[in-house]
Amino acid sequence: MTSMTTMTTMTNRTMRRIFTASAILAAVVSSAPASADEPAPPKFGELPTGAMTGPSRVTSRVAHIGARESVPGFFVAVTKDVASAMGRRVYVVGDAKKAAELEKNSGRSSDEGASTCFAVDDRNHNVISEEDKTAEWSGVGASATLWTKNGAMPNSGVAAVHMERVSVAPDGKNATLDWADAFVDPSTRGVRLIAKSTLALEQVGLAPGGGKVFAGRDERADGRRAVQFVIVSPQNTLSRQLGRTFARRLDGSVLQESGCAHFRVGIPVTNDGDSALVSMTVLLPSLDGKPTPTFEQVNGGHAAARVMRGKRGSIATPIPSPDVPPEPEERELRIRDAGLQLSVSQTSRDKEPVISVSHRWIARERSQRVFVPRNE
Amino acid sequence: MRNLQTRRGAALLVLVLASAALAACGGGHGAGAGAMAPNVATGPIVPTTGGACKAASAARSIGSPSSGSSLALAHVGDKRVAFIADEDAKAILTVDLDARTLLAQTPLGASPSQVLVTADGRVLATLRDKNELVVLAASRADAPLARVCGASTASEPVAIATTPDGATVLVTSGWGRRLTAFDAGTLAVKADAKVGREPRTVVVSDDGRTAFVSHAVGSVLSVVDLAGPKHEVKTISMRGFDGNEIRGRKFMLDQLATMRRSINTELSAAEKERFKRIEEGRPSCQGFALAKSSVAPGRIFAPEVLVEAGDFERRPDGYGDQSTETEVPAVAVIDENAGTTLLSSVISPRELGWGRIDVRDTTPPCLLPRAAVVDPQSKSLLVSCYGIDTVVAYDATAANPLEGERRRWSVGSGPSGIAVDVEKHTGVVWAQFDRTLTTFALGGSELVDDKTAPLATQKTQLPALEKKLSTEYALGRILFHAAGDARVSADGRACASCHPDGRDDAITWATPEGPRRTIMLAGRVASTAPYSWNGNAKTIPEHMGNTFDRLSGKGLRSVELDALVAYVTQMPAPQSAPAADKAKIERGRQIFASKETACATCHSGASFTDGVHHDVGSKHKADRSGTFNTPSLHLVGGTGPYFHDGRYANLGDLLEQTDGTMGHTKHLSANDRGALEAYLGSL
Repeated sequence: MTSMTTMTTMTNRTMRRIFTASAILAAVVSSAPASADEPAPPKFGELPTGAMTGPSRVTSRVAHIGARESVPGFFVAVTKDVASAMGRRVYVVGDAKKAAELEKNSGRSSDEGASTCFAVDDRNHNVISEEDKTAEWSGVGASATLWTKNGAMPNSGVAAVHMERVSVAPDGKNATLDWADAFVDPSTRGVRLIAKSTLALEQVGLAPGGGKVFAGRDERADGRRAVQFVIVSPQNTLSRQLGRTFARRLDGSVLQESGCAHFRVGIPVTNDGDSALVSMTVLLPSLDGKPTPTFEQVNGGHAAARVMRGKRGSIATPIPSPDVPPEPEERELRIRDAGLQLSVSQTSRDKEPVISVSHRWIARERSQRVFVPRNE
Repeated sequence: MRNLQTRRGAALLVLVLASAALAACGGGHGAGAGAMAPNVATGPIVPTTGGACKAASAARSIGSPSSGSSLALAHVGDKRVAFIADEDAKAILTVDLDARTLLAQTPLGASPSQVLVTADGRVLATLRDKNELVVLAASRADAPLARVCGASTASEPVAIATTPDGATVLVTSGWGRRLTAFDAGTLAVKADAKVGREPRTVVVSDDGRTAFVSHAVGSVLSVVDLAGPKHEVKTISMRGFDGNEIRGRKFMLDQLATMRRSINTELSAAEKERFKRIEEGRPSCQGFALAKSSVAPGRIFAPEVLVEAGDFERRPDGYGDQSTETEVPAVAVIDENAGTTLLSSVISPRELGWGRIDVRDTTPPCLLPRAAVVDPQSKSLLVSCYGIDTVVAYDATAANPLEGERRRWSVGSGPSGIAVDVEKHTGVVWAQFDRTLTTFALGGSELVDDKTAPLATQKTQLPALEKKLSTEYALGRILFHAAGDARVSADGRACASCHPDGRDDAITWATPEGPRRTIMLAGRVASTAPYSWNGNAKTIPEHMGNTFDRLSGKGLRSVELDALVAYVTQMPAPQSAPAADKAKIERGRQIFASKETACATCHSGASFTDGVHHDVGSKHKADRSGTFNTPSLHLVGGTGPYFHDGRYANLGDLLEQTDGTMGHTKHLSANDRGALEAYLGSL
């Protein structure tokens, strides 16, 4: 028997870090990476089935919709701005409160992570390409923007708008995606339903950053099939606030998240395979033993910092006063971008398409400076 | 999109059926136990039972892999061991997996390439530089393996696999371009199929009727019918596609269709050429590894590298265009039943403004994949990568496993073999260059925080070689495979990227001088000055300097350059098998030397080159000059396609179509031309 040299890659310093960090891991459960107990994706045949629509379903055009026509879930906001050469900008949002806020603030809204999301059919109906005929609703975000009829913009006026909303069941294992398509007349605020339905979803995995991945089978009347993956992240989390979410498909096209609480990526079911990689930001546990601040703490801290700056003016040291909040504490957060791979593939041996959900880091760790209120 | 992929038709090659007279190991190709060369036998020769090559062996495979690697895991008695094919020690090492100690060493007198433990416990090994398959038996874990028998193979046996019923042993021969099927009991040859260049790994379909063979070069995977009488060989295209290009092409065609214009009249010649390149896809290279598993039934995984060799017309300042990534990794998924690749697995979504936003990204691409295995528990494909000395785990259920990368482990230098210890759920890697065995817990699929719970690896350094490699050679080998090294190239390419195993990648690159085929290095560099197709470098260091410059590499220090030169010049040539028809080759030699053909006028001397420029009418429209340095003909038979721009697919085409511009062959009869071709193939 011959002696050999054996070494491990973990240094003592690393071990100390592990010891320190393990004590605080529990504090960041909500933003921890996907865990080892991730459920195995259900088989394709076990997924609930429904049907979505794309803008291609909208074949006829509507010139005018009466102001009295409406559809639940569609709220139309018209800003008080003077109409530009492009016409007047009109928003479609998911609740009356937000519509009022938009009207009041000239289209500005502080709301992030809207539960009801919209997309508008922005195809040029005079030139519908082959690609347009199979297009999906894209740019789903917290609101849809339309323009009143204007000669300079032939596509303005009545437009088809898609609305969708995800509701997660109390058990967290299932969800529903309710959707509706409607014509919206930006001039009258009238809304006329085209179609609506519900797609049931089942959890197929975990998303980096504490979210869940749901999926449902989308079986269209025209024979097209897809798996609709829906990523639902916890609302009001720091990782959402600090990062951004978008998906890149195999053909290089990119889907951007735009203020919507969920992120839907449809993967077509083909005789081959297709996939998308979703970029998400993950908040990592602190190495200094301090608990990771909450979304509310950070936003409170930043607000306090803004007040401080406003009150300070040019004075270097503020005079203690009831009007001036205590100076917030500066903290450094560890964040890292992760990629969530979603795919559907089928070989000739597979009796049904194979669903795959996995994740990896796609960038190195970086730090983010934030402010949190000091403990009194 | 499927129709975009070129599905190559059945390129049927006639196979040589085994002689029925080969009843026992040692007949014909075989060299039975009695014929074993005494200088390679180390352990005792064990008595055989039943079939001439059957023998009792105490080894029991861990995980029952059916394909070989440079290491194989097994139980021997109460020990859990790794059998390691150590090509530098020219021996099989037996290492205690749990104690991480060397238990025994079995010298073989030749470099083993792969080992495999069969279902009945015998240990198979291919001896790459001796053209032999040997069968060994284990008695105790701490004793050398005993030789049972051996069989001759075609030149340069590389990989081993067994059929699911254990009745057949398959061996690929790299330089010999063969897949040979041996009877597992006797080592009699059952079938011998001619396949494309540089075959490497072989895996067998679940029903045992089909073998799939990867190729280090040539952009194909061979599919060999093991069941039919003719053992037909088909090929699967392993070319890849750029997602953005496909999308751009679709968009443009859509626009043209919408405008109701004819594509033929609207597209310029350059656009047509571009579309043609998109249709054909990008060539691939580095097809060293294959893996399959019952956890992903019907799927064979083929790590490879997709190459963008550039547009000849643009004459880029390096090898390939500056605007495109020249080499990107891929993990092709082969549909076992259909004999095609999943197109989704060979599309490279270009990293446009994402994924590499962070320029410090520490995940360099795997540009030199060398071994692969599937971990059944996590359903991950594990790929070991030279150059970056890393094992990468991919989601084996993903449509494009590359997109489903899960995690990475840093391992020793030159990780040539990988296995999964299913009993402890660990990965085990043999790294040839630094002779280390690395083990690591495979874990699950969750994201790992490097700072709070880093992935730990345990690396064991094996004892130094009794006959140490020269420092220059050892360093040169590492430098030759250094991927992601800014001294060599700006885009991560290593020397081994274009010269896998010291061979050539069979690709014609766009260069500042025009299109240029990569040249094989192993065994044919020394004494062939001047270097490059233009002959503009008098010495190898000078030529390497030019190459680093074209790769935008920063260059090596002189001591490192010396080491690289030492490695490149000492790289052994493939060990040719004995010529089958000596008379024919002799006739070819006479024709070659004759005044009528005038071949030897330029291809003269021991290296078959006069070292002078000639114009043989081969100027490509993108070439700056029409004169080329006479290339050496040493090993020319295994390095097609031919000419500086790869215009001739094989020697036959070359001899037929260069008549009058490069020697004279028109007057030769078919037999004489065949003899000349046979002679060239023997050089």
